[in-house]
Amino acid sequence: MFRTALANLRAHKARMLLSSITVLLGVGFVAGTLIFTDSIRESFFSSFARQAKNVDAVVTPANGLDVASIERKDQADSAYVSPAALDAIRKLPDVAAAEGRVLGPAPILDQSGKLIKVSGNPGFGIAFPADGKLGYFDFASGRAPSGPTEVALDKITAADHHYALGGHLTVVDHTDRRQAFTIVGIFDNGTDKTYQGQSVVGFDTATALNVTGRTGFDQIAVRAKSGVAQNTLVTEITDLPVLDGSGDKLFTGAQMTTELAGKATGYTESFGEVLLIFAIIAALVSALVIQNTFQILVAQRARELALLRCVGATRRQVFGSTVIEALVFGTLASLAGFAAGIGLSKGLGVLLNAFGAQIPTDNLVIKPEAALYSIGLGLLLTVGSALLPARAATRVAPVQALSAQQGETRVTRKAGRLRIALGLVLAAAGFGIGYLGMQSSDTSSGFFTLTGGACVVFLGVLALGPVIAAPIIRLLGWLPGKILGPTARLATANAGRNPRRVAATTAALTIGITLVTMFTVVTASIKASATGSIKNHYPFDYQVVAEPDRAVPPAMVDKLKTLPTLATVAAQYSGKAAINGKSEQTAAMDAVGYHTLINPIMKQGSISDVVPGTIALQDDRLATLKTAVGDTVTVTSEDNTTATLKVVATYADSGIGMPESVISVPDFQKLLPTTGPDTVTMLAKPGVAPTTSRAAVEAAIADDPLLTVYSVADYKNELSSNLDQILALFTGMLGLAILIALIGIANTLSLSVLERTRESALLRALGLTRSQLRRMLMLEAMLMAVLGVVLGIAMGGGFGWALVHLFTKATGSGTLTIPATQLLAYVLAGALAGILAAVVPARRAARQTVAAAITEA
Amino acid sequence: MSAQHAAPGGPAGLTAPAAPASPTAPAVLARDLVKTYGSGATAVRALDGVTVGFGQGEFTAIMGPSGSGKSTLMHCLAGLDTATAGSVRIGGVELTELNDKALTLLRRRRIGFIFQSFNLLPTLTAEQNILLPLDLAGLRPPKQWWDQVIGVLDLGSRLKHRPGELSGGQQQRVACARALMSRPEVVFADEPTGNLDSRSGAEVLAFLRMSVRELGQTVVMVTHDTTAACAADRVVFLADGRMRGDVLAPTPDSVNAQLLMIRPNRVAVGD
Repeated sequence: MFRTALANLRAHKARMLLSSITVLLGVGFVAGTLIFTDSIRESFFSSFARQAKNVDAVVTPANGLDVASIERKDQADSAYVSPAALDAIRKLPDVAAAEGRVLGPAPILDQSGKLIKVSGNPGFGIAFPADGKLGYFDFASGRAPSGPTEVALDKITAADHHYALGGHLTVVDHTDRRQAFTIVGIFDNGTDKTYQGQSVVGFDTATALNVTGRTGFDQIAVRAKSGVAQNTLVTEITDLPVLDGSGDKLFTGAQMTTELAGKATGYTESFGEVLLIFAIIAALVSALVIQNTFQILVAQRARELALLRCVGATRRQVFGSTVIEALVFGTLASLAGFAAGIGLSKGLGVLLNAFGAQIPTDNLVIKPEAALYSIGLGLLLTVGSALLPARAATRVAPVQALSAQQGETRVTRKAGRLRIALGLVLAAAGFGIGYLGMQSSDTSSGFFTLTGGACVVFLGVLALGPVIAAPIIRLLGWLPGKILGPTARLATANAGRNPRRVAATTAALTIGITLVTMFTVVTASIKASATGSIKNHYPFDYQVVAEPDRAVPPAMVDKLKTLPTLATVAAQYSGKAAINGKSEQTAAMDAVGYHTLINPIMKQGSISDVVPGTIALQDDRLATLKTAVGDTVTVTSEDNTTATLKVVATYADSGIGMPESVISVPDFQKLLPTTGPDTVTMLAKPGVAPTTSRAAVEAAIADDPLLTVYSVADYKNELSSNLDQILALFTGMLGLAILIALIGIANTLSLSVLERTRESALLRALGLTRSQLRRMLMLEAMLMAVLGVVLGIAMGGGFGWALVHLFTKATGSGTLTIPATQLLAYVLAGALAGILAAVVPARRAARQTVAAAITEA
Repeated sequence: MSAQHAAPGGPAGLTAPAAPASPTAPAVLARDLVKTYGSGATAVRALDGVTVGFGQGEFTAIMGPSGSGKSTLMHCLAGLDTATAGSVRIGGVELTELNDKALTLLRRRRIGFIFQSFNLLPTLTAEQNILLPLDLAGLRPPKQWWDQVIGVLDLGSRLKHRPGELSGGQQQRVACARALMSRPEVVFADEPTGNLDSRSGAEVLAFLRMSVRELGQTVVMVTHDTTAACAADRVVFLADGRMRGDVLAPTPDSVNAQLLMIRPNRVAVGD
């Protein structure tokens, strides 16, 4: 049977080609994702690992080893290792060198005095160690800085902003004062994505502390004298009295490397998981296509199989033969897919970086596990998909070999009663579960329940596919039938002739379109909701925003308040405090902004009730903080200032991201005296032209490079473009699954055309021209594609609606928007894609000579 | 053999079969028809210079042993295949000058087909199958003509059924109705009774005869069955790609005798 199986494969090479492409793409995506994830983990690790070079022991603060720039920690939260520890460590006899490492914000200005920002973020400052062996960058030119007037700059920033050795660089220190430095070195951190592409300026250790305002070090890196073991060194350092009670942690160099490797894995893990989900969707879609293909092939080869049975092959042998074919086919296609995956992994990197993700793409790591999983998956899917059709192959009766008709296609019945019942049950159950999810008060559990319900509904619709497909095709074909006449009517009749097959073919497309539609609806709704929420609850015209970790200087606030073109100016503060022991966000706004600039959805009380001595809370915090309106809460800030405040009001998120608590400005200033306003929000005077008021604000802040002005339009545009980017990214990821589905349609049509050779010849004999035959086939494919898209839009729209409903419940505000034009575009794109999928099969069908086909086989 | 055209209730919008220049001009005329398959050493001459005419309003059968080229002849006559050399005229139109599209249009309007099997589209009902060629032309038959054909073929109760729900005989009757509905110049039938039991076969033949007698239809039938051939007015014989005589007013004896004569020489082993 093995030889027969191989002979069959060779004979039907062309038929298998399209199907093999779908396996190739599915396996390729999975392999590409795995290779990609492994590669970027390696790249991140090599970036992080620089920090462990030559390090025999490291001392870190209580919260452990940090790759600080990636995990942008809130300054208020950090602890540092004291400088006294560094001095003590240096005195140890076994220590060859010890350096305090600093990483903090260090905004720098370009040649024209403007702040240098990459992706909206200002740059970093680091301490360059005096001991060269403990440094982690190589110098392209010059040397490390020493002394309070010298700096080194990263190569890319220097090139982009025309800085060179000997030039002057202005750095803004933590007190907002500008300091001038001379550039003595340019270093290369090109492939290191630790810093997310932002500017990096290096100082000597003392200057680094000075500029960033830090009182201690992020790490102390220690190098041992030769012959001293890492463990010994760590023990000696632990014994130092200066570290007692500091809570500082110690790691050997080896442990540090392991920690960093773990960080790299952790960083890429969740990211890789998301990618893998998309890859698995693509693989599942290709499994659907393969299954459909095998089913059709078995049906077409009924006579061949019957002949085999006639001459003495047992059922088991026929089953085995079909499975072997699938195995060989699957192996070849999966191997090719793995090879394609290597290329795809590079493509993934390019795609993601095009959307602004700073992913290091220099490594290519191909682990055997990647090959094992992806090829294994491909084999599993291929052989698994072939099992049911293989079983059908055994049921071919030997007597069919004698029948004159070859592969005659009957109009088959739609679906068994069992299948219909199952489909209805699943659909009903899914709706029920989804409804429960929508009613849930806890957003995250509601989301999971909803997603579960959606999946069950989807399965139900798939089961009911054949029953749904036929009437929808008739409906879709009605208009073309009226306009295009008999060709279209024939196409509609043909498209609906085998509802099971059509349902299976279009299911693959429906999956992709459902997801895309869902994302589209949710994105559009978020955009509209945000616009509505801002208009109703946060109706500002302009905002002046300070860079992270900075404040708007009080002088500037006063200056803005005096501008004649502005009607209302309110300073906003935000920070963290412990309320009844729990750490919460807290914010304050100048009272003049109540109701004019801030107008959240209130559950109890009013926002203007928040006066000194009072606090308002987000509605869902009441339970956690074990309090109620009318009670008092204890609020403690980081420097242990306490206040007892009375709860006077509660509010909802309102779609504008209300903080967890709101207090009055005087109370905020008492609790967090060192935290100045991070934003100043303004309303322009009515009747003033927008260009005038904006110009006035920009002029007021012109001297301070750390302040930026945004109009509400800027804010909306940025939100819009961010959402569009995410949508485009998701659509791109789903694009492969959709492509596979379209190939599936082309495949089904090709196989169907082969079956219908005699039928096509009959049509040609009766008077259908070649171009009419082509058009008929293209219309068939178009109808199938549009069926898939329409079902996908219906389901995706439904799921999107449910998600938006959940989101609205959680935040208290939100609008459902169905972007009709976009959805219509999807339908048209689907129709076009269907037509394109049919071009080649249609040409081949039309080229057949009538006589050859019409003769008895 | 005068043609009797059905003038009353003639299909509107269809031209009656073109009036010939002379009353005895054939409906279909082939001259020196050659059809070769393959090339060089492996070339096969399926038709080796065939000249034959089929009269209007006549029922003609083409007979011959297997491999004689009769199906090939029919395909070339009907415009389903292009001849290598020679000419074919149907109703005065020279087929060999037409491109594929024109041939297709010709088949649609002026030729009817009945095949041995697989005559009907499984996705259409009997009624839709019958109307298909006219539908492709954007036309409908006049009600009276429709009723007449359906009535004669006794298909009234079967119109809404799909081919899968019809017996072999019923399917062939539907095929006959389709072939006739557009009042073509000529109906080509390729072994129409081959797959039928004797009773259904006899019905189909009787209908073909009736359509010739009473409706003036021209029918050309390819067959290897002597009984079927005897339903025709004239039988022409084909062997090895060449015409080998004809028999008028055929009887089983006269037909079989001619068949024996044209059979290729064999080694006499129990012959």
